[in-house]
Amino acid sequence: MVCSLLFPEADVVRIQKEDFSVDEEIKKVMTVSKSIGGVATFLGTARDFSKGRDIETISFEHYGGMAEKKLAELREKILSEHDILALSIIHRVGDVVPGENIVLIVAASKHRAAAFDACRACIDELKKTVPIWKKEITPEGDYWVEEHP
Amino acid sequence: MGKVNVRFFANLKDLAGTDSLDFEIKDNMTVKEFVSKLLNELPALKAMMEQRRVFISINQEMAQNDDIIKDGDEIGLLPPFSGG
Repeated sequence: MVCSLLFPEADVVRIQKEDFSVDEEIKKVMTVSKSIGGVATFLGTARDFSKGRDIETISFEHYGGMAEKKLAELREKILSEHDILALSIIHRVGDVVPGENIVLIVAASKHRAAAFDACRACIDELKKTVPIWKKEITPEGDYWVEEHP
Repeated sequence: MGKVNVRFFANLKDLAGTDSLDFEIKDNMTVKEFVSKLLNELPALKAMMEQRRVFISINQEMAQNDDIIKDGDEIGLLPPFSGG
């Protein structure tokens, strides 16, 4: 278990409107243990195209309360299934424009392989289990996205 | 008899024309019976509910078809997720 005093649960799993700093989030993860030898990150960002359409904005909606709970459960699952020392997950909601950050996963481990694997597993599972939805705002209209590419 | 609060999200919210409503339920009503009654009263949701994998939650936990809904529960209708 990671040190909860240095790295409170509320801070490592967040859903927020505002942008985040990748550097700051990595620094927080690094405070967990001096045994960390590798940190892998996944940063999801907003594209300016989708299925041949230009994207003006992506609007994210979440089920408040349940989405945070599912993210926390996901973090516990990934921590228990991978040999990692720390994991943080941050997802933005509200309007995001192309080029901006959407989601950040930071996984830290003693050796690199576990951090890479945990990061990949975490984003794949997040897309399937956390009640967050995105709507693409385009010049041709607005479209809710349903698939998990 | 009882009453639950139904929460709609994403395209189901657009189809329902609201993000939530109060809905009367019978005693010992299952999720399956609830969905059937809801679709009778909100037929605009029918195509989406039948063609897509829509999850139902009870008090923010995933529910199964034979789970019982109780007075005061919060029921979520959750279209396929698309976060990340």
